[in-house]
Amino acid sequence: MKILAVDDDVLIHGVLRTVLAGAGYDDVSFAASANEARMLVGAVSAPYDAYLLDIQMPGDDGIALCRWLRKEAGCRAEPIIMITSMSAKTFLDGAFQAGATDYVTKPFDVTELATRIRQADRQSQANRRIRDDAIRLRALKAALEDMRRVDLTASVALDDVDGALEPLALENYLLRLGRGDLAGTSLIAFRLPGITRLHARLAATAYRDLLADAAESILAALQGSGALLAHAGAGAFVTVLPRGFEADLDEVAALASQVLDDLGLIDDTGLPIAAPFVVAGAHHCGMMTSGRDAVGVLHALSARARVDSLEPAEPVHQDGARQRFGLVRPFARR
Amino acid sequence: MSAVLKTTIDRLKPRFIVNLTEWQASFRALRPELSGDADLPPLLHELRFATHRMAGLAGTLGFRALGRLAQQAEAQLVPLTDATAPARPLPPAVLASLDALMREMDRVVADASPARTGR
Repeated sequence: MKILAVDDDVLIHGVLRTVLAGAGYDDVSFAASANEARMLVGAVSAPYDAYLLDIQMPGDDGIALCRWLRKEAGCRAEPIIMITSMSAKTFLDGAFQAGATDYVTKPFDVTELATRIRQADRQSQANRRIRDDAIRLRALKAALEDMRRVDLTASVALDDVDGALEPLALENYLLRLGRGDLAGTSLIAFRLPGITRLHARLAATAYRDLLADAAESILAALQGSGALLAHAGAGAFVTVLPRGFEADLDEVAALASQVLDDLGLIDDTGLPIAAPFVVAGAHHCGMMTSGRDAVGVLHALSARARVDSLEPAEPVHQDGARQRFGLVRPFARR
Repeated sequence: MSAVLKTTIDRLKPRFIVNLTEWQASFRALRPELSGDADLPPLLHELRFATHRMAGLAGTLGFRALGRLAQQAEAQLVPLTDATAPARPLPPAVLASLDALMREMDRVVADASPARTGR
């Protein structure tokens, strides 16, 4: 443990040096005034682990020095032990208000002094562990963020969302269906118009969380339809509704937007994330639609939603007309 | 007390005695002025500073009685130095405390003199 002891009496330095060495602490620097201590603190590359400060010194006293260490020198948690004579104990309140952690009295009780130093050492070690853990944690978080970072146009697997598949799995699902099975199936694409800004603004984890929340919001708005969903990149989501769907899609988008808004999402700086959905396109499979046709439509919808997402926000239904999908066979079953 | 600490303290004692001798001379010069019409605040601050240092060191180096008397004198001087204008004459207890300390300083210096220690 690296210690700085400050006392205007050099004879005290001698006593402290011996007591500290006897307790196993040899790395001790001495200053005879607050100004000298400030210079030492400013000059060292590795900070001191603990401080011993005499309260009553000519010039700035130990309390002023303690306050300076806490507020200006960045010594937030290092132990600061005040040295005071028995008759000056009234100064201790001010010392603790200035950030002192302990005190010893002069004349020194050698055993007590050694005990206090060892306590300070334990505190210093605990502080160092906390500091090191925090550094490691920050590095791990940064590494994790790097690992989780995805390109704006890349699709993101939403493993934690029920009903969410990878795009390829959604295609395979469509390919497995026969013509008759696909009849009545609806394909709908949604997009988040502000995704480019959000991708740039959010950390990787927050971006993934946003996509997962967005997917859940869409699926919640489509509740009861048996919808399957995939993220197609760039804030575009494609859904497959095997039982068809008969509803106003603008209302579905508005409902999904409301669900997402109700989550109260905020970014790393505490600012709210506003991400209203827009319907990018929809298709209703007829009796003659094959699985390959459906995959082609899915690709087209995905591409359109991605391109539109990367453009400035603009409503799809510019004339305000409602887009309604009447089903050939309501709730057709495969 | 460890042997190393005892050695350190024994080594520091002569230096303390040198300091004590200087304080002794200073106290002897200042003491008559405390009862006269000298400007009191600077005198009291000087005495307080000396008693403070003496109180901190004397006990640690084994001069327990001196340390205790220095503490008592410092405690008497603190309210006087904190006051903007100390009352005249100084309270008898303050003077008595300083006189007792000076007697102990004389005794310690005499005990440590070469004639007594054989050095």
